[in-house]
Amino acid sequence: MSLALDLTRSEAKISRATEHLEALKREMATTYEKTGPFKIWFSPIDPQSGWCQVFLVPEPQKPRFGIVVGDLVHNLRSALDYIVTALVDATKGITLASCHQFPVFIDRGRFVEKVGDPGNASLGKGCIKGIGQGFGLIEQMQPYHRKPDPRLDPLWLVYRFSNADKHREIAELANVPGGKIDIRFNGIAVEVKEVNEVRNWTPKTHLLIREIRFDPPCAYNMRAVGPLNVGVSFYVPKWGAEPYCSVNFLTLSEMCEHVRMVVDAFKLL
Amino acid sequence: MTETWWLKLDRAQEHLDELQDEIGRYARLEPYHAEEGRQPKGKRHLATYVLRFSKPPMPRISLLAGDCAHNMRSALDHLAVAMSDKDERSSAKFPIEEKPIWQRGADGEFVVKDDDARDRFARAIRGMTPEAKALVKRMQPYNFERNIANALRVVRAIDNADKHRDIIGLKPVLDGSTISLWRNGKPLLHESRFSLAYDGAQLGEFDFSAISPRLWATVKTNVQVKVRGSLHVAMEIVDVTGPMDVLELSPTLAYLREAIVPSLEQCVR
Repeated sequence: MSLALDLTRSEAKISRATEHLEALKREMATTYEKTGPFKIWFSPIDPQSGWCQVFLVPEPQKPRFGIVVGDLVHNLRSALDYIVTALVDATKGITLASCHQFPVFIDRGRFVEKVGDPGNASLGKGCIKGIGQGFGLIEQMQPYHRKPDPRLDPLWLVYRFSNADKHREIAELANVPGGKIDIRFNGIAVEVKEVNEVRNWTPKTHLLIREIRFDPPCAYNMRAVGPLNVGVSFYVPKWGAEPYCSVNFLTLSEMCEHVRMVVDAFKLL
Repeated sequence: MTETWWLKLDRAQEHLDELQDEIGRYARLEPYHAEEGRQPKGKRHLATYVLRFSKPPMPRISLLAGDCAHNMRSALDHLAVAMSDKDERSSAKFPIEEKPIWQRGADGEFVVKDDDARDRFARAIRGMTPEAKALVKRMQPYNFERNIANALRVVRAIDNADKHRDIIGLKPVLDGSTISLWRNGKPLLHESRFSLAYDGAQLGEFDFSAISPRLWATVKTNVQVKVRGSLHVAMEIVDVTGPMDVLELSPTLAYLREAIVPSLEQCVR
């Protein structure tokens, strides 16, 4: 028998999450047009060796962007929880309790321990207590089915970011520069070292991108020309046994689409 | 950098501003009118009118209220984490309890027999100093009368409803309604009520016993009925007695900013 779940409320929450994502893109574009995420810093030229270092210096980031990401994941999380609400409403004999929410696990053993095994039990326990129809589909949607890394599953990302945001920390913005910047100057460069590989760099520290040796050791009107590619991502730091976790705009968009797909799957029940 | 709980409250304010605009837009539609009600039995000289709303509040109002409450709730949880010892931060959150779980009776036993609730509460504040624990307990809604719109009670109710249950149900309501009957551009009669009027509420009862029913029937067709009042949007929340005005979020946020958060901040470690 079809359950014909009414999931319009989940859909409204996903639309709201998408709205936050679009607002975030617009706001970030406007901010970066005014002030880029990096500025260029040239070290003083060493009078003995003639070497000068060129750094990208991250501009302080607006924590506001991370707050918007928090709102986005909150809405996705609610969209998932409303599926459980709808399943409870469709199940005779159970009433909605504060424990009810959509389970998200990266380990099958933990899922079985906390929620139950749909292969052996007809009804779920814990956060899906009393739910029979839909139990199997909930299990199929679990991140632990994603190989090789369940931590890359969009549902897991929703879970991690929404938990971090709600209780502990706002997602931090990390801008990763890419491409090559053209450096111009009035002076005689006799040697240039490009930094092609960066190790142990964190988005909040200066990034050495080039070294130039001048002979004679002087140069004027040093400047960077041309656009810089910037990869934008948001991350939440390590929490307990859970490692650092990051998402970019594409991932955020995939998270919205994935939750939409999950909701659609439950509509077919 | 501004502390994360202030950023969350600023974000709640943004949602609230948008919410107020949205309610203003809805009110400008004047989505209500008077409909002739049933005549009381044996009183054909009486004309009654009831309120009808022609358009429900936009669902966006509900989404904005949810986002606003979520940010207020998060601000409290972020503070609770900052108030806790580093080793206990993983279990820290700001508890909001309706039942007087710590109250003891004359026999020294807890009045509320709910050990789980006490365990949850104790775990949430475990890493706080004794002063901070006492402060958190003093702020609990159970210390205030049930009918008082206590700020923490409002935050908890709306956030819980929005996160786990469903999109918050909305009901339009007219406050301080005045119904007036006009004929040929001239006012005939009017009646004002100071109570809240929901869909179907009686707005006025006019006595036409001075004229014959036949004349009244003729007059009635040329009468224009106007309704005026202050339009509000009420939320239907399970945990709260009766519908709650959406804009109750405004004094709630103000109270968090001016009283609750500054006092809790004194206990940040």
